Amino acid sequence: MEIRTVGSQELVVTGIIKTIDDSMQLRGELQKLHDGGAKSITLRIEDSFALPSAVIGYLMKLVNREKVKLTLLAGDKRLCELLDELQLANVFGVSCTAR
Amino acid sequence: MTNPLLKSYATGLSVLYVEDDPIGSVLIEKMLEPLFDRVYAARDGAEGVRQFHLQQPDIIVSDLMMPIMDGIGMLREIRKSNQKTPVVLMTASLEHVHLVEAINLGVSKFLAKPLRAEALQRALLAVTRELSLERVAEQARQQEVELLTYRNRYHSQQVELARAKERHIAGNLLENRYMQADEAGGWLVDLLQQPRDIMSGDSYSVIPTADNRLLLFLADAMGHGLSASVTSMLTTAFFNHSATGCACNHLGFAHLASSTMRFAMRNLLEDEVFSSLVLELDPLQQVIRFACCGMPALLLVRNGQVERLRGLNPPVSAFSPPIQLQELSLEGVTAILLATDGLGDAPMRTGGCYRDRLADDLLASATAGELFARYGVYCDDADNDDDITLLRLTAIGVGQKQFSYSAPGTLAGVSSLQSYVSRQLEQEGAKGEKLDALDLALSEALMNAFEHGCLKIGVDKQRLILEGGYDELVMAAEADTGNEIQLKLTLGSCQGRLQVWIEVIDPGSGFDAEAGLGGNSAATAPSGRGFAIMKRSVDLVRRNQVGNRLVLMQMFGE
Repeated sequence: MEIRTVGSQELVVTGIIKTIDDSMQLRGELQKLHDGGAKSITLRIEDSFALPSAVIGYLMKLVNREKVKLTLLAGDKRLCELLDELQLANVFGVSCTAR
Repeated sequence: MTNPLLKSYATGLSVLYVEDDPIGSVLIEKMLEPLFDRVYAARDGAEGVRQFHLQQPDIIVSDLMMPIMDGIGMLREIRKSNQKTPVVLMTASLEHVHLVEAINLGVSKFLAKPLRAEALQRALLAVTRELSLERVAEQARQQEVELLTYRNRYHSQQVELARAKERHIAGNLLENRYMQADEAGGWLVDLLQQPRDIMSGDSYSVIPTADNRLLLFLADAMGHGLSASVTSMLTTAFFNHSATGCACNHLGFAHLASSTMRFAMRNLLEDEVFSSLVLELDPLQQVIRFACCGMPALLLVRNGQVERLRGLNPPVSAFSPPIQLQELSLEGVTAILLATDGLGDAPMRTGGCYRDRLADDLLASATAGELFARYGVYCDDADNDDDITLLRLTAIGVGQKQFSYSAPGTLAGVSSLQSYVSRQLEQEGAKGEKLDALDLALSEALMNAFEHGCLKIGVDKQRLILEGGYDELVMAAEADTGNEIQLKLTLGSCQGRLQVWIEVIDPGSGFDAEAGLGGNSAATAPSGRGFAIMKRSVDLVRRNQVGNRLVLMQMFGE
């Protein structure tokens, strides 16, 4: 998994988010953006077909407690389906960019 | 004198009369007012058009020759938006060209001037009678539509209720769990059902007992429709009730099996038959006991070979003899397949029945879903009008290579354990997206064990995440003897394909995820998300009864 920061409000994640280390690393990068004052964050997940629950829990905290406006761009249809099944599509501002 | 029949037809109706002559207008008004609820007037055709659009009268009575716009002109305008309102046209003389156009514009009655009361009443009687009949017909149509809508709604509600009842009675209480045999292994039930209708003739029940046995009922009532399904549902409900408190001995099971079949017998019509199976699996004694009445043979996979176990009893009918039980050792058995005849009887595209292929496909598949997919390769399910219910009882953690690991109950500990296991799997030949998915499921399982087994977070997880405290708790966890997470990795082969079993054991006393849902659905509750993610990622995932062990199974290769 690779994470790239674009500007002060966007993260681009390539590769599969699967291990505990991946979850902690992604949480850390999101926290950096939030600590930097970002009130809205775009999270572009290009390849991963799922999100670990540790990341989901952290995103829920960002949205519900920290009131960050989140836009999640999902590049894999299965990720869109997962977030839809978990009723998080609206909460996370999910858009499916999969072809 | 007012015709009482006309009065009754005209009640509730409104009329517009259009007459330029003031005396004529007064006379007409005097004739109309006793009959109609509402009477509107206009002095010429143009005003008549305005009044028509404003008041929407039920009937128009109009003079023909009027200034500004005559009766035909008015009617022409009105007919642009309304084809139905009846018109009575009064005229002193009607030229041919007016007559033709008047008829084409749908004038209902013509009256000669000077107007006579009786003539007007006769014309109005005909027109109002026609209107009255139309209204009655329209009401009847409305009532019919309402009745049909009600019936459809009632039927839909009944269908939904029947479906809900079916789900309530027929169930797999081991759906997300497995029966732990002892410190090593256990059994899980993998169920797939393809009903062809609501209130399916097939039914089933899977019940784990408090003393760690598995009781199972499978039924196929012959025939279609309500009668067949009522038998199945009733007998399943009886089995469910009787299985509670079924004593842990041979006599207890014998009583359960025979009383269930006797119940079915007593509720069958003379010409009805009912195929069913009652089975007990005892993982500690390593034995199955069963009574099979007219169901297809059980298939057992023992030491890599398939054994067919035919039942000893015919289908249950109103006149069945006492049933015979069978008992079998589970030594070496890794899978048992129970299925209703909809599966084996299905015709294959190449000829013959799927029963001819079932043993081979059972060996080649690791889950009920895989077996059903193989069935779909050889048979066209769209052509199969018989219900299919199949239960695959699978022994957990069977394989040729076994590895055991442990990790301290810290974030670094579980993270290292995951990396180690992932590398081991790569070395054993696991690769690709299936390995990525298994890695994801493993990270969920390890975090679950860490959070609930080591940190004892329980149902507080969501609150800790939202209100703060979760990260601190996770980061501050220290290694502690006795607070370690165990992992068992078993690698086996299924017809040349790599089969991976992972069992994650946490040191806690167990966490009941269903109790932690707090009224939310399993997918949306915080304690259910991890499980939902695991289910999507691997071929099988189950918890033990207590909730402190989790098993994952993933197949690699086609």
